[in-house]
Amino acid sequence: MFRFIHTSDLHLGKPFGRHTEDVRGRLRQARHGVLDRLAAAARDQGAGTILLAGDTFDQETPAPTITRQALNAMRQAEDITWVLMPGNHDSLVASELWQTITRDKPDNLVLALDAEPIVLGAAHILPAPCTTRNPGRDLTVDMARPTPEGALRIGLGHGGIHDFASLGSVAAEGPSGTIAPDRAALAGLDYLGLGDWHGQIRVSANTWYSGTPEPDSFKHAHAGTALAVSLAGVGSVPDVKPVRTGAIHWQRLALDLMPQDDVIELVAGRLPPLDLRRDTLFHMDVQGRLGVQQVQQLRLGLERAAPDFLNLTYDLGAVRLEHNTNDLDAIDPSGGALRQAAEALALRAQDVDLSAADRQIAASALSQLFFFVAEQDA
Amino acid sequence: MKLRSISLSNVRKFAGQTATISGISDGVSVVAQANEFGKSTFFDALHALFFLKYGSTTREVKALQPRAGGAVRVSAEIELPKGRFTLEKSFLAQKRASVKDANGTIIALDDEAENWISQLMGSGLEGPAGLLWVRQGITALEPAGSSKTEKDSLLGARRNLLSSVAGEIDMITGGRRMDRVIEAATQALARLATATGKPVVKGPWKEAELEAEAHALRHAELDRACRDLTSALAQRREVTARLSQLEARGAQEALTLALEQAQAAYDAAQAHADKVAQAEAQAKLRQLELDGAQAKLDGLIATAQTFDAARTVLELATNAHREAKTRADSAQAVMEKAEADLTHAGIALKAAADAKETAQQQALHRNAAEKHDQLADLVAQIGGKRRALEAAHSIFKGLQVTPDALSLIEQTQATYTRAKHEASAGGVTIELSYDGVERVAASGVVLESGLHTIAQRQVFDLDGIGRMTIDPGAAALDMAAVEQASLKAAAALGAVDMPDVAAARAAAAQRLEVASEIALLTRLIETLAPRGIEAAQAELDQAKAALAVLQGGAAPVVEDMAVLEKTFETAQEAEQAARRAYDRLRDTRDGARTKLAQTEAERGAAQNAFDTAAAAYGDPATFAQRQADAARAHSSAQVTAQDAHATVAEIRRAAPDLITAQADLTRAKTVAENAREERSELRTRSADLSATIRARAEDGVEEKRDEVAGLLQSAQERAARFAHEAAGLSLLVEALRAKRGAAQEAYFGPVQEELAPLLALLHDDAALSFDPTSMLPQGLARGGAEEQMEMLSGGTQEQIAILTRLAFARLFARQGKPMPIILDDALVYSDDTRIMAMFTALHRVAADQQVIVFSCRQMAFAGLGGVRPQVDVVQDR
Repeated sequence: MFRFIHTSDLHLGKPFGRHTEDVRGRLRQARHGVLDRLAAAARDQGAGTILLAGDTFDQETPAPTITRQALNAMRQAEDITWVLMPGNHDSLVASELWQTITRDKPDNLVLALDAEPIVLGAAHILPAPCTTRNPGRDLTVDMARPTPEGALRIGLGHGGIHDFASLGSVAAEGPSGTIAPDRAALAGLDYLGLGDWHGQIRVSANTWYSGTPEPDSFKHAHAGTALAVSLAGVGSVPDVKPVRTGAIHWQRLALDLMPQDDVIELVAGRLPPLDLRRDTLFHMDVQGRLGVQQVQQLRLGLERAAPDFLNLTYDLGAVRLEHNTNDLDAIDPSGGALRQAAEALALRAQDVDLSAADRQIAASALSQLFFFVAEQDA
Repeated sequence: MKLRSISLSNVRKFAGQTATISGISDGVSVVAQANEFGKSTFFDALHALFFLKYGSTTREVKALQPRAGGAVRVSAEIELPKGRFTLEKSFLAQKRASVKDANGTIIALDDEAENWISQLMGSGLEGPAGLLWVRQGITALEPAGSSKTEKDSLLGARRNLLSSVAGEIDMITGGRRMDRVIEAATQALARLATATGKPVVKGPWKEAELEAEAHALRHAELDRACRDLTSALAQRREVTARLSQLEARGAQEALTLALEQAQAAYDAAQAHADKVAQAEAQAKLRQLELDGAQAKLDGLIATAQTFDAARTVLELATNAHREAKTRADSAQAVMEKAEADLTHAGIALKAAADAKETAQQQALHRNAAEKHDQLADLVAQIGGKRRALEAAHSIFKGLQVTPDALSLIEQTQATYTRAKHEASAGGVTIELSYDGVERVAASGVVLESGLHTIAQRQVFDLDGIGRMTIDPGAAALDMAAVEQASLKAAAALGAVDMPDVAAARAAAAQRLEVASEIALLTRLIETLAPRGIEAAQAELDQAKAALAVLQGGAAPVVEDMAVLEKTFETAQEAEQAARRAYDRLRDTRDGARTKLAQTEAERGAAQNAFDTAAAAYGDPATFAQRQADAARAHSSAQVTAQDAHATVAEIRRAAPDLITAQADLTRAKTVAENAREERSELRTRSADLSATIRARAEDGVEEKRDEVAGLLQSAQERAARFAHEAAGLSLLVEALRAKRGAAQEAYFGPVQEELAPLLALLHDDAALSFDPTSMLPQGLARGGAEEQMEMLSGGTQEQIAILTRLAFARLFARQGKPMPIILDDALVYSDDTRIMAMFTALHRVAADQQVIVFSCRQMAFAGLGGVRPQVDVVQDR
C-alpha cells in the first residue's frame, strides 16, 4: 500500500491586494500555515509523501521570505517527503526560484524539474513540470516512459484537460487545457494527480484534480482540501479521500429574490453558522425583483451581519427595484412632495428609454430616499 | 390653552411682593398700566414660566431676581379642554416646577412638570406658541440681531406651525420631513461631490480617486520592474543555455580537434611548400647553368664576329691615316711660303709707318713750342698784374678812413665846434701863469698854465694862500657839453688814427683812389686768366712738359707728308693681302693636321679593338674546336634545366593550398578564442543578470505588483461606487427640490387666506408675498406695486409683523389648539388710524383666540376695548 497526499495550487505569496489590510493579513497567515496543515493531514492519513502538483508559489520570483519560509516548513516536517513540481505560475521559466530552491532545499524535498521518473520506494513518480507559463502542448505525453516491472506509476501534471466539458457543470468554467483526459490509461498510470484547477475534480477513478488546500477566491465552492490517496498495488483502483486543510472559507451565495420573499428570514437562513463566520469571506450576489423596503431590509440585514465575518460583501446591482404602494407609502403616505419625488425616481428607474446606468442611478437615488426617510422617522 | 391668571412672587420690582393679574377673559384682555408698573416683568416672568427650565440659572432667569435675592416664583392658571391647571415654577433659591389640577392636586413635579409644560407649549420656543409673543419694541419679523441658530429655530417654529396647522400643506410640501430628507441628502452629497459634480477635496470619493491614481502609478512602476525581472530571467536562460552549449564536453573537444586538424593541415601544406621551394631552387640552378652555357656559346660566336670586324676596321683606318698624312705635309709647305711673303710685307709696312711717324713728331714739336711761348707770356702778364694788385690791397688796408668814418668825424667835429662857439659866447676865462712851483688846483686837480674857462661856480685851492671861489653867476657856461663834444670829436678821429679832419679827408680820398685801382687790376687778371691764375699756370706747365717730351725725339726733318702717307697706304695694303693669303693657307694646313690626328686616333682605336678581339679570339687554330665544345655543353645544360622545371611543376601540382590551410588554421584559432571569450562574457553577463534578478526577487516585485493591482482595482471600484452614489444623491436632491418647489407654490395659501382679511383692515387691495426659504413676508403689494419689507415704514412693518402672527395664530386655532397672543407694548409706531384698525384686527382674531395686551399707553389703548383684568400687588409675609 502506498499512501500519499496529492495537492496543488498553494499559491504561496499571493498578495490579495483587493482586500483590506486586516483581511489580507488573515489570508496570508492562513496561506503561510497550509504546509503545516498538509503535513498534519499526511500524518493523520498515514502518508509519508506529499505530491505538490504545481503552483506552489504564486509568482515566478517570489520574495525571499516566501521561499525560505516554505522550505523551512518542509524541512520541519522531516518525516514527510515532499515532491515539488513547477506549475504554470512557478514554471521552469522561474529560474531564480528553482535555482534558489535547488540550492537551499532540505533533504526531504525532491524536486521534479524534468520528466525523469522519481523513485519513492515502490512508486515511480512521472512528473510533467510546466516548462513555461503556457507550454501549449501536452507535457504528460512523457509519462508513457517505461518503469521497472511491478512499480507503481504515478503521474504528476499541471494544466487543464482538453475535455473539461465532459466533467459536467464545472466544465463551463474550466480552463482550456491540453492534457489528454485519459492520460492515465494511455500512459499506464495507476494514478494521475493534476493541479491548476482550484476546485476538486474527479476526472476518472484514477485521475484527479486535488484543488487548492487553501482557497483564494470565491470561484470554487471548495472549502480547502487535499486528497489522501492510497494505492494497494499496480492496476488497482486508488482509494481517494478528500481531507480538510483550509483555514479560511470563501463562500459565495447567489440569491434570486422575489417581492413576496421574506428577505430577512431567507438571508438569515442562508448565512453560514456563527462559529464559521469569523473565518469566512462571504459574498452574496442578489438578483431578482425586490421592493425598496426589501432592498433596505436586505442591506441592513447584511450590514448587521457583516461584523460576524472575516469579510462580508454583497452585490445588489442585479436587483431590479419594484416599487409597490407600500414602499411609496412608507416614504410619504400623503401623496405630497416626498411621494411625488419618490414616484418620479421610481419611474426613472424603470424607464427603458434610459441607459442601464441611468436607471441604476435612479434606483440608487430612490433607495437613498428611502434610507433618509427611514432615518428621519427612526 | 387659555390663560386665566398670572402670579409673580419676589420677581424683579416685586421684591417681597406677590403681584397677580386675574380675570383674564377669552377675548381681548388689556393690562394698561403706567410706566414702571411692571408690565414687562409680567411678560418676562410668564415667558420664563412657559419656556425656561426651573433649574436654569441663565442670565434671563437671573434677570428676574430682585436685588435682595431669594427665590423667584411664577405661576399661571390655564384652562385646557380637559380642565383648569395651575403651572408654577420657582427659580434660583428654590428650584421647583409643578403642575396642579383644578383641585390643587399636584399631577407633575419638576422634570415631569417641565415635560408637561413643554408638551403643552409644543417644544418650547420651537413650538407654535413661540411665534405668538410680541415683545415691546420688536417690530421686525425676526428679532434683530438673532443668531443663525435662533433664526433656524424660529424658521422651524414657523414650519411647525404651518405643518401642524395645515395638514394639507404638509401633505403637499412634505413639511419638515422633506426638509430633513433634503438636508440629509444634501449633506451626504456634499461629503462626496461639489456643486459641479466633482469629487470634494479630501472627501471619500476624491480620496478613492487619488488612491487609485497613486496605486496606478505604483502599479506601473512595479510592472516595469516585473518586466525587467522577466526580461532578466529570459536573458539569463539564454545565457545559461548558450554557456551550457559552449561548455559541453563534446563542444570543447570538437573545437580542439578542429584546431588540431587545421594545424596539421597547415603544417603539411607548409612542408610541401618547402619541398616546392627546394625544387624551384634546383630548377633555378639548372637554368643558371643553361644560361651560362648559352652565354659561353654566344660569346664564342660573338668573339669571332668581333675579330673579323676589328681586322677590317683596322685596315680601313690605316689607309685613311696614310692619305691624311700626305695632305697635311703638302699644306704645311704651301703655308710656310705664304708666311714668308707675309713677313716681307710687314717689314715694308713698318718702314713706311716709321717715316710717317717721324714726320708727325716734328709737326707736333713745333706746335708745342708755340703754345708754350704764348702761355709763358700770358703767365708773366698775369704775374705782373697780380703783384700790382697785392700792392694796392696793402695800401688800401692802411687807409682806415671810410666814408662812414669820415662822416662821423665831420659830424662830431661840427658838434664840438658849435659847442665851443656857444661856450665862448658867455663864460669866464682865467689865465694862469705860474711863477713858482706852487700850482692852482681845482677839485684836487692841478691846473696848468694857460686859459681856463670857468663855466660855473668853482673853488680853487691856492696852496699857501687859501681858497678862491669863482662864480660866473648868470653867465655860467655849460662846459660839460663842450667837453663832451670835444671828447666825441677826438674819439672819432682817434678811431681812425687821424690827427685832424683835414688829414681824415685826405686819407678818405686816397682810399677811394686805391679802391678804384684794385677793381681795375682785378678785372684785367680776370680777362687774362678767365679760368683763374692757377689754371693758366697749370696749362703752361703742361705745355712745358709736352715740349720737353718732343724735344727728346729725332731732330726735325722736314718730309712730304702726302708722299709718306701714300707710301704707307700701299705698304699697308700689300701687308694685308699677304696676311689674308697666309691665314687661308694656315687654315688649310690646320684642317689637314686635324684630319691627320683624327685618322691617327681612329687607326689607334682600330688597332686596340683588333688587339682586344684577337686576344679574345685566342689561338685561331683552336677556335673551331672550342666553339664545337661550347655547343655541346649548351645542349646538355638545356636538357638538365628542362628536367628540373618539370619536377617543380609536378611537385606544385600535388601541393595543398598553404593559404587555405593557413586561413583554416586562423579560423579554427578564432573560433576557439571566440568561444573562450564568449564563455567569459556569458559568465559575466550571467552574474550581472543574477544580481539583477536577486535584487528584484528580494524586493518581491511580482507579489507587490499583484497586491497593488488588487489595491488599484479595489480603489477604482470604490471610486466608482462613490461616483454612482453621488450621482444617485444628486438626482435625489434634484428630484426632491423640484417637487418641493412645486409644492411651495401652494405652501402659503392658508396663511394668505387668514392674512387677507386682516390686511384689508389696514390697506385696500393689499397682499403679502412670502419668501419660500425663510417663510416670512418679503414684500407688500399695494396698488399693483410691491415694496420690500425693509423699505416700509416702522409702523407698517410693526403692523405686518403682528398681523402675520395673528394669521399664524388663526391657523393654529383652526387646528383646535388655540394659544394666547401676548403683546407687550407692541404697537408703538402706529398712528391713531392704523392703531384702531389694528384693534379691530385683534378683536377679529380674539373671536376664537385669547389676546392679552400689555401697554403703558392707557389713553391710546382705551379704544381697544376688551376686558381689563384685575391687578393686585400684596406684600409677602
